[in-house]
Amino acid sequence: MDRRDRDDLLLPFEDVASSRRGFLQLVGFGITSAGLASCSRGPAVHAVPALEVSRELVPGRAYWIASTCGGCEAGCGVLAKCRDGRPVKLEGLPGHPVSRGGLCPAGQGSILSLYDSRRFDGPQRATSAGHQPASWTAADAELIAAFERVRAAGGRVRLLTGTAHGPSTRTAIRGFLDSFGDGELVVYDPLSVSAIADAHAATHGARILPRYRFDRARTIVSFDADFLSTWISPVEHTAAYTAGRALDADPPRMSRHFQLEARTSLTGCRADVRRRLAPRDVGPALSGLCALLERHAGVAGRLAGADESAPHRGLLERMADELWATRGESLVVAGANDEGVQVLVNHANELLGGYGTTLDLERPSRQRGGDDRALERLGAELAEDSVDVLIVQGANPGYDLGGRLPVDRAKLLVCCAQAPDETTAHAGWVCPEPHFLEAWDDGEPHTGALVLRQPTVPLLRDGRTLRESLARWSGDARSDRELLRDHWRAEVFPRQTARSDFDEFFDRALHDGHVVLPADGPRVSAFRADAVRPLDRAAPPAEGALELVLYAKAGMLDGRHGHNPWLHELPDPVSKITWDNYACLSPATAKSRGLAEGDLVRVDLADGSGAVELPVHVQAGQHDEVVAVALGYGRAGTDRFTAVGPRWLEGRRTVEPGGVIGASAATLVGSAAGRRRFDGAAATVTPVGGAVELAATQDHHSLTLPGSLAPKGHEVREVVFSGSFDDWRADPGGAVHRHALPEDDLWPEDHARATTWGMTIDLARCTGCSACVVGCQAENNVPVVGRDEVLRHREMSWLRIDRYYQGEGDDLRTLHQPMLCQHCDHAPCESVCPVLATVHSSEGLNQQVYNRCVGTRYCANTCPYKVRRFNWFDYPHESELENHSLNPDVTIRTRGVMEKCSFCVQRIQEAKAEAAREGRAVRDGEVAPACQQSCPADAIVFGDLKDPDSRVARLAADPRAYVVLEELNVRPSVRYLAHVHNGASEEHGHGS
Amino acid sequence: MLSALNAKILAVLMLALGAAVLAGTAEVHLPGNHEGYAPVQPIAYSHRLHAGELRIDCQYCHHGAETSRHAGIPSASICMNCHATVTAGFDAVLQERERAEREGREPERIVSSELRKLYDALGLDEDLQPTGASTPIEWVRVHNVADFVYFDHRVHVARGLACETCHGPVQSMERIRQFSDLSMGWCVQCHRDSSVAPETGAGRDRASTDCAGCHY
Repeated sequence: MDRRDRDDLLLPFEDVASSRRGFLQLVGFGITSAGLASCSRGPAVHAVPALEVSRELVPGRAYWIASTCGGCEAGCGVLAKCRDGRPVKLEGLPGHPVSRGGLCPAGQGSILSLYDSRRFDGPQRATSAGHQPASWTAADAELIAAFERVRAAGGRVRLLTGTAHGPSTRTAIRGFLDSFGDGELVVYDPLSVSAIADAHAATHGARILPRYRFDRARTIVSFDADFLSTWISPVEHTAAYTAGRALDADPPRMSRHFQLEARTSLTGCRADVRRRLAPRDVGPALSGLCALLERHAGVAGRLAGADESAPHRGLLERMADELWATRGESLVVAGANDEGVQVLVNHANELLGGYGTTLDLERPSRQRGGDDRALERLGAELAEDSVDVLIVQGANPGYDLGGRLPVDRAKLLVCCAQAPDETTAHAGWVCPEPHFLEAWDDGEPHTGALVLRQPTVPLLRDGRTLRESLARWSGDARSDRELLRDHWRAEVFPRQTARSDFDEFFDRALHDGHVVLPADGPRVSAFRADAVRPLDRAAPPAEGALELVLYAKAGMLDGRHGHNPWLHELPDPVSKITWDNYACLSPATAKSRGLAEGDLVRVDLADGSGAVELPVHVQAGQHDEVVAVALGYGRAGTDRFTAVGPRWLEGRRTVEPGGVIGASAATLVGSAAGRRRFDGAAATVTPVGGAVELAATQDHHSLTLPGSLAPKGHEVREVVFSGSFDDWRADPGGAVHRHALPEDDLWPEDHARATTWGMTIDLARCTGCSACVVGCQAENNVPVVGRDEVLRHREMSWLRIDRYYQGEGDDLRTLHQPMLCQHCDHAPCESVCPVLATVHSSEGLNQQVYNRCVGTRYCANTCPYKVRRFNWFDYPHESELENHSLNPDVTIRTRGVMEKCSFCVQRIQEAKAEAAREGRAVRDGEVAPACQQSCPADAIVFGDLKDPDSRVARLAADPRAYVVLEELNVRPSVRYLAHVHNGASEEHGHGS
Repeated sequence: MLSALNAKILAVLMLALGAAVLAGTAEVHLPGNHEGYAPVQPIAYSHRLHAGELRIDCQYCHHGAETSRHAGIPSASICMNCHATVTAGFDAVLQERERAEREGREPERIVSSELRKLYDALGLDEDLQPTGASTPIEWVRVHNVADFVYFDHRVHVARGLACETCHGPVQSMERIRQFSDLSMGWCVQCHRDSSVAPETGAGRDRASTDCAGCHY
């Protein structure tokens, strides 16, 4: 090329244009320009407003509907947070007579089952090719004709339900069954406490379940009852229990809680004095306790001398003394479904004057209404093929009863279930029910305390409540809402005097979610002491055999939540294991049998009536002669979770196609005197070879170095502090080990803050129930990662509950500590982030900015509290329907981004926006993060630490308040209040 | 092989092409910046007429701005507050009245072609009686912020910000157009500059520039 031809104007292009490369560059420039220009065109996003304006439904604005939880039968109040016509989060309903504003993990998780894609859509008719969809008209026509034939022939009709305490449904059931010559209602509870009601029938002449008032009890003795986690009404019990342990009351009070149990339950972890007791020893120990109480009361009972041979005699004496000293404010409970045991419990409570104070018979509980003996009779009727129609609602006997109830032998089986289960498989007709968030309903958890349920969303799947179905089958065309209202107008409204207008009364009850009517409890007779009999110690199991204990896990309960991935991934509060059930053995038993964590064993009932294969979990604090197995696993269809978690080269499935999650122990439930027995059966444990890895989260995200990795003589960091009530009274801050911190500040505050958001967590109140964990998951769109990712320490929970053990066997002390982002003022994560994706806000929040994060993970490595979570993958939901459970107020994080607790900043922003709208400041207590809102124990308090009058600031100034790992001087905004127990002072200690 | 002269000519041509493409689009923006976006809407609704000439308050239709994070696109039933009686432009109605007077008959109902679309959406027949067949109107959304931003109208309205500050002279726009670029720099500039009257009692005198104010 001739350089003399150079034209200055074209200089930059001279070289480029003359080559092929330059030519391409220029063409590229042209195309890119055009591309850039076209990029500036907006994407055509359509917005489709409703044709009719709605006053309630403003797009983007949340509204709240009071209702009643359907996670179990306890009847806790919920506030459903709805956005754009659908519920996205369940919150506790403050002021509710049962739950007092809290919720449990199963309740928090139950919103996910609303968006379960497996639910039935309309009735299903059994055909040779399986269930085929049918219309309600066809179903009604065929069923009415069938009922008519049975009615004419005087046939036998049975309605089998779980506990149904709804007055309108009970009335409908009675009306329907009475139209048949031989119609009967059979109620059972998968986790039966039938013996308590039977025992009251024997001692008080009325088959009732008392309402336990743990708030009024100063001494609590529990034999195996896991009342803080799964027994009858855990949220109610937790709220009451913590109310009875109020250090802030004047004068401070703290109940003393003795727990004698075979396995390590969450309730046992909270006990002030805990001893191991094999199931066969419960009767003798209770007999001994009653004998000692009789001696105190000066009653010549039938139990005299029963204490001589009782196990733990020294402890029994101490318990009897303390129970007697606080008589009138003492409570004895037992978990065993055994009438003899429960009669002794009644006897003890009667001697202690508990009836009328700690046991409420005025407003007895209806939360478990099952009758095991009626169930046994139904089994016999079915076995002789004499049941013409069996209608099953609110129960899954095909699973719960381990196949022992031959439901398929009914001539016509009608199932009212939401989704396919083990029972609907045999059904001639499935008449699906709506989810509890879609339906009208009522309930009566305590006699006279009525609760209401109202729809929060139109039916997502075509379903009908049992009440409406029964009305249709009886020729009643009223809508479900009318049926409910008419019942309330006729039956409930006249029972109250506060309001004279029914509409006003009903609307008020709907708004409050409940109405409490004047007490009209059942009449009970005087205590019949002749029912009391001492119980002898059963023969120990044969050499080498163990006693089997079947229990329920928080969240999974009896298996009704077996299709809920949140609850599967929720670590068990004690074992910290996710996605599995297992055979728990004590460390000594496991060692003596050469078994280690994860070894596969077969648990055989000694009488050969059932067996299950499970991995071993070595559980500290368990009785040496006991093997404990959780119910509720091995549900049919759980191979759906094969799709949970990321697909990648090394990824393993959560469950193999065709498999199930865990194994069903329902086949191991025994029977004694017509009642279902969950403990005491002799069982052998045989290794079958092989082992699996249990996805336990306990050693993940540890604040301390494992002993095996730590250098010799390394520092042991103290993380949780605990002291006795007596020591606390002497020196309120004595349990806490404080560190001298340098006065000089590397980062002096460069500007004064008006607000510093902070939190206090009272370890003396926290029971470890894990409601906060699932509440956080629901609020913050925390994904489910699956079993394999949990094994890789990649669970995404923003809030975890750390469990600390100290000691073993009878001396085991357990502490639980919720751990979340501490929002440190001197946050180590902030100084290592190369892209400023995590920075401090002017209100003391440690902010995580997802769209800045490039995923170096430096912050997670440097975080001393190990609370940061990395999105190794995208974690898609199972179906588009499930996406509707996502909270629209929180960003969905993508792969490669770090995330962590934000202190529910979306709620802070919402409160600030509302305050600005109303032209005022944010009030103390107005911002409640999801964890605090859900906590039944009121252990978590959030607010402005800079406001000296705020509740959180006052608690942060408590002598018990400390920050975890204070010696690091990272200045967290979360203060923990040291645990206080009511045991002996020498039991003072700290976990690490 | 291109000769030097051809190369120069080609280079100039390519530059011209690039410039022409850029100039051909009314405004040049980086990706994500949709300033000036004014798509054709399913109904040729005129903000100039309603907000400008008739001086209808913005929040009469966009009532969510005060109570919600979204100002909202009004429901068709809000249009019907007026358009149940106003079915066409004033001129057309006057002409019909004059014509009817001339021809000695009762004036007929005149329905403009754009309002016909509204009535069709609501399922209303010639006499504005419901037919039962309604179809919601699919408006094209003009103002879109990025997915990871939470913008809240209600705070801005409560703090006394005029709609025009961000949405521009809507009262003069025949078809609604995106006035601001809605970029983070644009948001933050205002947040840095703005002082909110202390008497609102919110305990702070400046708009927040915290990340978590908008990103969570």
